[in-house]
Amino acid sequence: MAAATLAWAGLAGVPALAETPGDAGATPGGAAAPGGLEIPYQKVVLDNGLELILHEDRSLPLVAVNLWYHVGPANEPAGRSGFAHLFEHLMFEGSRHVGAEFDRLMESAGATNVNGTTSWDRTNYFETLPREQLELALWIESDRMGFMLETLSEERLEVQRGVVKNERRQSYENAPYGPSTLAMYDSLFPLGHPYHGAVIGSMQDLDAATIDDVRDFHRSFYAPSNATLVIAGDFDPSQALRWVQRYFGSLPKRAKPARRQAVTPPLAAPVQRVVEEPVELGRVAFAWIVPPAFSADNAVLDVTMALFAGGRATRLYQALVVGKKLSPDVSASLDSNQLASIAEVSAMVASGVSDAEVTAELEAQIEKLAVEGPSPAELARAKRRLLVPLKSEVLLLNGGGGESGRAGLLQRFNHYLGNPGFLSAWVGQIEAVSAADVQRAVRKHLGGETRATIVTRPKPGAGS
Amino acid sequence: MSRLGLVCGALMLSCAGSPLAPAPAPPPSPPPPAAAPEDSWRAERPAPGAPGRIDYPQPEITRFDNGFTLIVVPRPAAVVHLSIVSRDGASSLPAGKSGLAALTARMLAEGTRKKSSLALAEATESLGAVLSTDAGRDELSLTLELSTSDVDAGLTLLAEIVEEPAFRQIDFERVRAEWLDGLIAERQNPSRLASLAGLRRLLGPELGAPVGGSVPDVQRLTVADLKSFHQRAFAPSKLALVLCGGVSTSDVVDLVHERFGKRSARPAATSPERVSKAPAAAPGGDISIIDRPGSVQTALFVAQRFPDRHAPGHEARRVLNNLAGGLFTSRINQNLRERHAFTYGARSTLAATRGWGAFIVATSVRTEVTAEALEQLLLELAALADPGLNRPIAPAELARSKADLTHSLGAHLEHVSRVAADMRELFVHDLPPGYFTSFPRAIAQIDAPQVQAEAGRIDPDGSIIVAVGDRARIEAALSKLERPFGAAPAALLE
Repeated sequence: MAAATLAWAGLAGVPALAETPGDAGATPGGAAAPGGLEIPYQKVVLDNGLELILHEDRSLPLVAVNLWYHVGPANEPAGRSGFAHLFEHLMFEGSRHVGAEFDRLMESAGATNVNGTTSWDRTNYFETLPREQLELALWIESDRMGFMLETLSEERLEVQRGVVKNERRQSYENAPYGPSTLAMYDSLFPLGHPYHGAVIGSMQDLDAATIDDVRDFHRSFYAPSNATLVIAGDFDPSQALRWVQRYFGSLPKRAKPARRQAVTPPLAAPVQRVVEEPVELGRVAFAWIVPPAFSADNAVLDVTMALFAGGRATRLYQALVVGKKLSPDVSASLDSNQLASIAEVSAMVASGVSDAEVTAELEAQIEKLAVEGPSPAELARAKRRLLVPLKSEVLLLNGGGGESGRAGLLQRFNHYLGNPGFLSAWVGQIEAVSAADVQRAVRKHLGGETRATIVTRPKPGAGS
Repeated sequence: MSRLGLVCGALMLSCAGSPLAPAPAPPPSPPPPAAAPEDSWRAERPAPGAPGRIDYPQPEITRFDNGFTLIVVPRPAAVVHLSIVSRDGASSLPAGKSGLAALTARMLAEGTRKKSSLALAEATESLGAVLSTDAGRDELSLTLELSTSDVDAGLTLLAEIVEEPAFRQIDFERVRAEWLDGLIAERQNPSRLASLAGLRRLLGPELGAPVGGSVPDVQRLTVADLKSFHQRAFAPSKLALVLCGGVSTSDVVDLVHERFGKRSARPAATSPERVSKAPAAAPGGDISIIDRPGSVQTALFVAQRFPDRHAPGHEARRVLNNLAGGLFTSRINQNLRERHAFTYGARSTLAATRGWGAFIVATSVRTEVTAEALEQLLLELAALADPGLNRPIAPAELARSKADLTHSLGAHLEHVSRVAADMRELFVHDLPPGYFTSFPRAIAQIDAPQVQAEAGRIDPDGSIIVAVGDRARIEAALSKLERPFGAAPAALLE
């Protein structure tokens, strides 16, 4: 089997659109990368500023709808942490013409992977439907874009406030290492920075949110000009365009809000926090503020994290889990965002081991990578472990969180770069990472002087 | 059993997150304000267009003389999902050996007679894949996902892993220690702890032991145990190789025959028929509190015995589960989350293995409302069980529950890993090859009386309840439910 080309890459692609809407012509994109990884698309901008990206693939009778609003916790007013996410919940509560029927309609229509998510710079809403239900989804999504405030009530705000507070309890306060994760976010970005605190927000701020806040937020940020709609899968592009014009194009044009800007340097001095939790096993996490999504070194740091962990033939796994048996589990991740990214490595502390030993070994391994760099075989493995899963990810129309899969990747690249067709260039950036790049990036970004260290210790008397 | 879990990244909050989907508003909403004339056309809900048809492909199944099974489902993809599955899982283990199936599968990643642990990891990961190992009650499996061009290399590697495991003592001791820490880590999570304790309470210490094992059992396992379990579970007649992606049978059949189909059909020790030993009567009715001082939520686990995977009516019970607590708009989630805001979500699960079944409802609720939430949950179960309580199954909820099952299966075709999981189910439960192809028709035929009949099995009074939370703050309120408090013996927690 020689084919590295994806199945749909050979299809005819999106036919030329019958009509050119708005003031911008349709822009075809998605040139093939040498490895054959591409997502053909067309992008158009409606008169009211809504961006529309179409990716046609008729191989299954399914269609994914994926709508991003370019707003997140970065846009929250002071004293309203967690509000962007609370607002996301309210978007499922109904709109004027659809009524409070969102989930019943979606489930009845056979929708799968129906969800909404909030991260620093964006909030997304997505669903995958049988192809015959595309118009229904466009009707629902446009109604909550244009007419969501009119069914909003104090009662529904109170219920969703309660649900979100329970989400905070379940995912953080009552979850192992959840309090430590909150402490990490509190340690990284200073008060006043758009990313200060955790996306979930504080209980106090969630309690303070009012229905007027909801109205203001919708008016400021839920405008067609601040949104991008991706339709991916089995549909007729000219028909889809007519529907989008009908349902979304008829919404009034509103000013496009400016994105938040902030200079985001690394931490000025190291931070160390010790958090006691009702757990038996401790944990050590290192976190750094590193450059934004798709800026210089973003791909290098992605590869670096894959050198540290994620497989068994990786540095932290071999050193801490296999070699010195200090930890039953290690991880390394890069969370890439608009203003800054967060690099994190962590290790659970094995029974009978001190967290100081784990901290020292993590430090030693980071230093070792900076000094000796990865071997050629090691570097090649890390890259393949990033790129082969990408071939798997693009089988999905909508992937997890609405920011993976074909629709999600088009959205991500469009959101951060304005170029939905960046996938092949991204693959090229990963492939181009050298051992020297890794050494330089580790030295520059993952030093002890800019590090937040969060140590989780078992609370005395807790556990068995 | 599968674990539902949060899949979203650390910085991304999902409104639906874990088993939870997004938020609707159930109670009758006020009529929408009179639409502005220019928007009145929006009130009309669009009609569906011409439906597409999803034809779930028939798998290509080849059986070799030694009993080994090859299942191939060609899909347009640049990757191939390879898995090898055995019909022996945790349910086939003798008493005192809990964890053996899962730990054996895990140890297969630790090297072969030709390759050290590290060399095997390097060989696998140089293909861009990470070997994952998994075990359930009825099966264990190993999977790799790699580029289509590497499928031959992947097959050769998988054969070496399965056929020639090293089971070195030094690796075993490390992995066992790591595994024991993993068991501790799992119990730190209140909802996992509730589930582990609840299954023990429901099924007894042997059948109810976690797939990952109890701490004392795992401490006593030896390399000899692993070797003998491997002999049994990896006999050719118990194995299937499932390939899904950019390959067809003709691409791989010779190589698969060479690597897997020529092994002697060694007389595999037959698995002990543990499956028939499921306790006849389940205990029930009591509440076990597991104290977790300072908890801001209580993890609730409510469970009863239900028919096993092969008892007639399994598909109707899946429909029932969907409308009870499987869907976002299910009765239990609507009540506990959307009406009362007691929780981020409440879900039911139909657990159905070869030997036993269970109907389970799990949720995490604010500490202060623990008893109230449990009461509402039990009321919903009672209303499902007894149509005389004026909540007969409504056509709309039945239709949603069925649509979800049919369309979710259709969506499996998007990804090779989901089709592969279906094929493992097909093999493990010996389902007819056309099971998934005809699944939509089978679901379409299920009617309300059938689902209502299955709902009649629901028995809130006989259900066992486990509550993991702050005892001092929940015990008095729970005592008003007038159920006996069961002890939470240490054995539930091992």
